[in-house]
Amino acid sequence: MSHGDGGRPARVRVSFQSPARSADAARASSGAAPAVRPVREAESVFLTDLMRAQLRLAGACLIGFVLVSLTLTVAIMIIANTIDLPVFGVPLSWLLQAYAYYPIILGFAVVFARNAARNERRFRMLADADSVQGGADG
Amino acid sequence: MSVVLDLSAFVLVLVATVVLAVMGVRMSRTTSDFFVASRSARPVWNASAISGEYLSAGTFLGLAGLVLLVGSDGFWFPIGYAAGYLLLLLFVAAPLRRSGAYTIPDFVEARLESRTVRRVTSLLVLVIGWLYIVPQLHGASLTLGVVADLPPWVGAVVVAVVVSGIVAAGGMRAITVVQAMHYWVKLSALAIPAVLMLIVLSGREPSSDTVVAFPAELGPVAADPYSTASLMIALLLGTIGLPHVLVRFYTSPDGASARRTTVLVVAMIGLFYAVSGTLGLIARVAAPDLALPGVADTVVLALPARLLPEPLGTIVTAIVVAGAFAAFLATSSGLVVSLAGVISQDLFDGSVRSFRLSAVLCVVAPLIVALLTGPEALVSSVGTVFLVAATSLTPVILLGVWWRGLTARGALAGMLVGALTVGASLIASIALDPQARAAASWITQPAAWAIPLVVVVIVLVSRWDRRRIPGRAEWYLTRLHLPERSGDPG
Repeated sequence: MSHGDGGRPARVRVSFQSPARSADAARASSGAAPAVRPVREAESVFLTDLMRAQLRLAGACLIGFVLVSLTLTVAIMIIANTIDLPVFGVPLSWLLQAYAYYPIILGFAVVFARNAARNERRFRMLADADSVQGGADG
Repeated sequence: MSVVLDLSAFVLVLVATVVLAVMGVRMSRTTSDFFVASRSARPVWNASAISGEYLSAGTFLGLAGLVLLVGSDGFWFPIGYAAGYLLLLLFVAAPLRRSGAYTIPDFVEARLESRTVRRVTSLLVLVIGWLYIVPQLHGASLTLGVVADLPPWVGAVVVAVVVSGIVAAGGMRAITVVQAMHYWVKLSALAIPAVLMLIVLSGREPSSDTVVAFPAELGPVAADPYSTASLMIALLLGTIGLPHVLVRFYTSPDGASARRTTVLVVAMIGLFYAVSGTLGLIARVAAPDLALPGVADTVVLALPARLLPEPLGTIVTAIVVAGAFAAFLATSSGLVVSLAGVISQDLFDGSVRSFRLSAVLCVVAPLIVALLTGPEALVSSVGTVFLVAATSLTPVILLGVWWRGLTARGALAGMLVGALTVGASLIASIALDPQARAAASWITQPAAWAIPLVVVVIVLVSRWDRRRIPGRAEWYLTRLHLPERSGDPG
């Protein structure tokens, strides 16, 4: 199961993958897991916060997406029932229904990905700063 | 339409698929290569492959057909499919990448430490996968029938043979290459005709027939808000539970890149749906006579010949045919890869040889179903698959990623209640006559109440069973949510 063979830029993977792999191998001896892939104390303290932050972020993005989409849907209904001007021969309401939702979906995807990455960077900084005195880690 | 040109377009896609697959075979050696391309796929490459796999015959042919048939309500399907990827990104993309599992059953077993739950999950994955392959095969029959007047079984059999051959020979590395190509083939195969037809249409006198082509009663009028909302919930949540979607995230190098890949996927499938929707709008203007159930799904193939001057019409039709076959091949092979992974690990020893055998088995069952049933509306049969996935698997995956208290019994109870509910609803909607069906949308679109019900069942049973919270749950959740040390390579 060596993932580091060949000339591919494998350095990035090896650093996390190999301990995780061996943790899998040690699955039989339950309870030994933390010793195999040591989750440092500082990490476990901040990880609960990170999980909460990511879940909050995901929830906020979901609610935001639902609200914006609902608003758009209502707007389309109103347009369809009032001044449905044809644009290039197609009623505006049809065009909005066909194209307008995708940019909204993409927008929330980008916002989430950026903020999720920021949450993780902050976690790394906090956990590393807290364990400086703990010495070198694997 | 020129039969020779159309068939050679089909053969060209086939040859390109096989050549790329063979090139991939030379690279794929180990078991791990076979299952998940060794997790080295780059974001753009991987995103193309994910999109290529996701965009099935259901949307390639079906979306334009549905818009032609039912009007602007048809657009809800691609909106739901695209938003499904947003939910996937928000709640599971990075954690599942970090889980280190190959398939959904792998994840569920590692999380809940229960072989029984694993078996039930595998069974559900298998049923969902088979349900999904059947419309792909129907689409292939439909296309070859229109193009070359071949008997319906030919298209289904050809796609089945090619797919099982490629998957058995190359595993997922080959599939990644092939599907990345298929995305671009599919996009061009709709974008080129769309642009050319828009140029032709813009030369015509517009506006006079707007009311005829786009009647207000088929426009966005909210005829049945509950039904639409429930459908959207099923489509949004269904993506998370699809077997071939999750396995793709294991091919990203780390959690952060899994997120970046997903954002790219949202952009790519959104672009495709926008183009595909354009063809639906064109169809309403240019081919109202094809607005019949069973015929409407062929409209994308018929449009170029109607609107474009010869020989352009014939050439463009051939391009569309190529794209359609890319759609059948890509989605079916993605499904077969993930199903074969599940079968080979659950029924056999998980070796490369058993993977090959499983790949063949995974195609035979849906092929038999496809040959025995007739092609229904492609988009809505794909919608049914999403409904099954959303009610049975998605709640377990979501709670597994985010809730420490989930137990094996809770998951089991949830999957059973979900599967039974959705099964009963499907049987009931078939049994109802059309008039009663329209009145009883809470039966035909159960997602809005069934998914919350399943979540409640899982939580209650897990609470009652809380002594059996898996011993390593804490450790496993840490693994899911702990950012990789490699950080964010930007």
